Amino acid sequence: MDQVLGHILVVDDDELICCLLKDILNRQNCAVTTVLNGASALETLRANAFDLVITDVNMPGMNGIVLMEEIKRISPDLPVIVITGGGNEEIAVKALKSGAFNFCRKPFEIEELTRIVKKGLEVKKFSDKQKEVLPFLTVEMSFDMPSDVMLIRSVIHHIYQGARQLGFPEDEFSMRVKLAIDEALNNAIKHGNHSNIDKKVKIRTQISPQKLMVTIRDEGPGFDVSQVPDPKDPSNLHREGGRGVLLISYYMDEVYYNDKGNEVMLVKYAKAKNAGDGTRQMDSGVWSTR
Amino acid sequence: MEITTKSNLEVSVVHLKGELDNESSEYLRKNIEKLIESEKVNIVLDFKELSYSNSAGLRELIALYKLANASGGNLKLCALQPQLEDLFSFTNLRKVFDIYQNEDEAVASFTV
Ligand SMILES: Nc1ncnc2c1ncn2[C@@H]1O[C@H](COP(=O)(O)OP(=O)(O)O)[C@@H](O)[C@H]1O
Ligand SMILES: [Mg+2]
Repeated sequence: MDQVLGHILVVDDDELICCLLKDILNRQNCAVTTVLNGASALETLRANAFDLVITDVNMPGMNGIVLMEEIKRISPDLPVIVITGGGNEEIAVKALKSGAFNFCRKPFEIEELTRIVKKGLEVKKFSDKQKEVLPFLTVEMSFDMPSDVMLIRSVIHHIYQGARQLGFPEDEFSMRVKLAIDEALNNAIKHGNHSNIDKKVKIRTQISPQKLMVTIRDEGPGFDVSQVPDPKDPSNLHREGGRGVLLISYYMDEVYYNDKGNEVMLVKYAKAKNAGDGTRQMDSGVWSTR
Repeated sequence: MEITTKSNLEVSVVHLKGELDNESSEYLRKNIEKLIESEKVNIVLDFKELSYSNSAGLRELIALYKLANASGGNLKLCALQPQLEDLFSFTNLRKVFDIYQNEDEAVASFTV
């Protein structure tokens, strides 16, 4: 075989279709792995690198659309081609809307199929090429935002989009990062700036593939984080507030407050450095950890 | 956030879908206050499709829990997703709320 064009995962509960597709694609210099259901597809994708997925829609267990959505969560840049039964336009539209690269009808038109596959592999190659520079990229983003809590959601969205671009995951990890930023912004706006729209919150973000850093500064008098009562203490459990500062340190790897206490820096590593509680608190020095 | 409520004589199940933050917490409060005003004070919050809560959300939950209790009822939670389970464990809020695996268990806990 000449140079392999790409590795393709074929998912179909019909073994005959798997064989047929394998045969067609092998002739196009593609390496092909076949699996019979969505669960094994996900397992195979986690263990091996692929350039393209072709999946049937109607399969027992996980259907092709659900499988594709799952794949998009794990590897958003992996093109997925969906095979629909003849004449089912609705499913095809649905597949495209949920992120399919393209769709193919059964029975196959070999020429159409190979054209779509080649196009998909090209797109994948291009996005792989783009990714080569990611290790050397740092995304910096700043906001000077008025003290309005209704803006928090969008700010977090922008920040995390930058993080996604650099390979940070969209799962429980992202929930932790978002929550910490959410709490710090709420505090800056409410406690620091007393929700005075004329007062600004300054946000500086630096994201590299290894590390996300967010600095949040308000115009308030600051506070002494060591004086914040522990909300986990039984006597404080029924208090309605007082959990933000704790959650920030729980969900981030490192947290630094400046001397005055009106600026906080949140640090999260892409790969867990010190798993678990990363509590750092202000003490005497600037940007000190304890 | 989407809120859907189904009530029978004894218990109201309130299903939350989306994220609990500053804005949606207020929306939740309005819904629960309405229930309690109409004397539906036994409440289950179904978290099955709730993916996120910040501390403003936690604040509201505790306030509503107190409100339900003060009205002679209770507010219980069920079907927490792993990340919320972690949040409630870490903050010790498991000690404040009665938390159940699923809606049926939570509802049953009111009727025994
Ligand atoms: N940026 C800030 N400026 C001034 N005080 C703050 C700031 N952030 C937090 N605090 C103080 O720390 C306390 C605890 O904050 P937190 O744990 O987020 O709970 P909550 O916001 O519910 O009060 C606040 O009540 C406030 O007194
Ligand atoms: Mg707070």
